[in-house]
Amino acid sequence: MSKLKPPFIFIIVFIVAVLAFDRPIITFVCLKKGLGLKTEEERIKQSLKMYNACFQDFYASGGLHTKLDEFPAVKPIKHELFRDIGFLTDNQRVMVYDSADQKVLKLTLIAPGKAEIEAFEEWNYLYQKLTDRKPFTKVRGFGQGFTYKVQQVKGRWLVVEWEPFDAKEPVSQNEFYF
Amino acid sequence: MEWLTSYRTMLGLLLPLSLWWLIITAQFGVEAEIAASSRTFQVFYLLLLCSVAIRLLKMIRLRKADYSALCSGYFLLLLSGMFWYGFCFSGTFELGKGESFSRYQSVGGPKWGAPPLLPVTLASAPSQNFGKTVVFVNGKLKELPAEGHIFWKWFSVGYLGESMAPFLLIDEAIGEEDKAGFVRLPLEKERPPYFTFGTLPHRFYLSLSDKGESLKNGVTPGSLRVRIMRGKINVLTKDVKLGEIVRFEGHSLRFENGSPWVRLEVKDLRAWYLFFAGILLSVVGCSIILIQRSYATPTTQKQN
Repeated sequence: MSKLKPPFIFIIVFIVAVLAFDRPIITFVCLKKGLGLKTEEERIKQSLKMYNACFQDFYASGGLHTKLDEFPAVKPIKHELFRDIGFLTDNQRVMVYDSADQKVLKLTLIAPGKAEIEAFEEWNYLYQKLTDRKPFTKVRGFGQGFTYKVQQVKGRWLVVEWEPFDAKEPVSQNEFYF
Repeated sequence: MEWLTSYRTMLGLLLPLSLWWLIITAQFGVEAEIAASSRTFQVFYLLLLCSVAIRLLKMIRLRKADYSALCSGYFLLLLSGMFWYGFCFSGTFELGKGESFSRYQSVGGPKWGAPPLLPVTLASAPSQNFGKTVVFVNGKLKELPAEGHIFWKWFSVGYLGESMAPFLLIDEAIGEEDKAGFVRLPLEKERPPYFTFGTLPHRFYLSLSDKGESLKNGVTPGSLRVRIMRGKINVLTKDVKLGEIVRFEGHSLRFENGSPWVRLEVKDLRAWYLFFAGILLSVVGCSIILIQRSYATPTTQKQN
């Protein structure tokens, strides 16, 4: 029996160290097995909603930076967005986006602190003149599939990459259209 | 120091490592790379490596060839694991005719260090040379068959596919300062990656239109599917013919004949070399020990 002791001591030390220093991996394994998955999925979805809410605000305000810290996205995404707003400003335009609906089609946890989401989004938009904010186009709408890659940074889920993809609008049983 | 090299310590270190590996990868289906990224796993692994290394030195000092071979085998096997995780990499890169390697298109690893710059230049693509890719590796001309590999140092370079890179011009038609360049079309059945041009906020996606044209014959297709996005808006999706001018949001675009490009794959084989050397030495060590045991004669005999 005494010969078996050291391996067991090492196993106990290993388990304690894993629990102390490898939390992201343990969390990832738990999520893969479904433990706490719904809560984490909800956090990711909320982050995505926040992303689109800030996205709308940036455009509608013509590029005001007030929500920049709240915007759950990494720097290259922010730069791309403000390059677009700058382009619109140069053309004497303001773009008003309105997120009509967002349906998450697929959410996959790919690695500790990394996930990929496929969503179908419906948006309405119109252009206004920069000087007097009078609309000069009609409201247009579109539905588009988007793939978002998100990463956990300091406890927050941030969008690190997005890509459009062709997707049909998912049919929901509990939805009424007038 | 004695405790670190004892068999019980080695077993003690090996057991949780193996259990972690089996449970995390086999039971929970987590990728091997994620399992190996555990800090605890890495510390235990290093301790085991040190333990085996010290034991190896001890065996060499005692001039025990059999156990030295066995220990060096184990040591190399462990070292191959460390190399596989930390130092080895695999990547892909793309080259047009006459173009030298400048960056990786995609790269996995290494965790510690940077992937090397490869002295590879494309001499000709398969469509220009009867199905064979010809490259200069470190100044020497080498033929790369479609299914084979060429070796340089401890790297292997293989062929992944060929496509076209049409020449794209933006804003030339409206008289502004034009932006132009070769744009690589994705390989067949691949989702097109986007590219940007200068300070324009647009994302451009270029792919083959659904007309059944091939990208492997070294000829620019007669028409291409162009998709332009700005923000979330799809600004344009259109099949554009060769030379046709397309206007979008105050800009213009057209494409001309281009040239073929190839995607090559590079793999770092150091971990494999260490692994096979480790297996070989372990087998040699085990064989010597087994032979010695089977031919061993008792040294002490009771005299009547």
